[in-house]
Amino acid sequence: MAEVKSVNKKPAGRLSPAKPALARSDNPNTQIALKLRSFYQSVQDEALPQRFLDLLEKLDAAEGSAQRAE
Amino acid sequence: MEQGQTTFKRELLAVLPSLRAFAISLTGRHDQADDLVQDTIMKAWAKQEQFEMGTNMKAWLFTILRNELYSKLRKRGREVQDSDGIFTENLAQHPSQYGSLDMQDFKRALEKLPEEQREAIILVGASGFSYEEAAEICGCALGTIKSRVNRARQRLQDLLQVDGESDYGPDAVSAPITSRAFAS
Repeated sequence: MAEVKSVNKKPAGRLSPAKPALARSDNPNTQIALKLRSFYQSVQDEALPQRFLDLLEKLDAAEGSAQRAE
Repeated sequence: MEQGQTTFKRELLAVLPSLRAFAISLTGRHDQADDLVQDTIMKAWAKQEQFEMGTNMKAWLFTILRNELYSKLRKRGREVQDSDGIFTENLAQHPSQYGSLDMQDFKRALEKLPEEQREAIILVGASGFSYEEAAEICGCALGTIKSRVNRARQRLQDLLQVDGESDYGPDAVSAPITSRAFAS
């Protein structure tokens, strides 16, 4: 009896992005979620432009010399 | 101090790839996104005294970037009456940056979402924030974020014509029949 109950229980309406593996693969929400994540991931995997590294170096150096001057 | 500064820089660097992905997903343009990231780094650096080490650096940086974006958009809106200009499709300029045709379709669909829905679904669905954190970053109520995410999902589904069962040929036909059979 308890078993039947748990089988009939629907997953709580909203898709939780934290647990994508539990969602059915043909769930449209999951397809959207996967596409979104793979889009984001592809951008995130791009090499970081050198200008940001240079900028941080500069900020770091400027701060260092300002402190020494104090 | 010297120690704290090194940690700050290291943590900031660790968040940069995700911060940049957020900027690119929001604006749809690499050049504008990178300017935005640069401004964010400078703002964050100037305000680093305000940041409490050990708290969520990622959320802090995302909040700064988001504020930068919207203040730019507001300025732009005053100048040219086209606050959407920043989001204009320029896929043709960067066709190779998004591998598959599928990805390009997705990017185009994402750009069609209203700003507040786009940022909500990116923060929760891709950047890895909880609904609570996303609400804090966007400065709105938890319920508002939840409904924005839902509307964004719905709209993306419509735009990409992903409607589950119809993508699976035979199932679309058999599903109603089998469900009827089981119901009776």
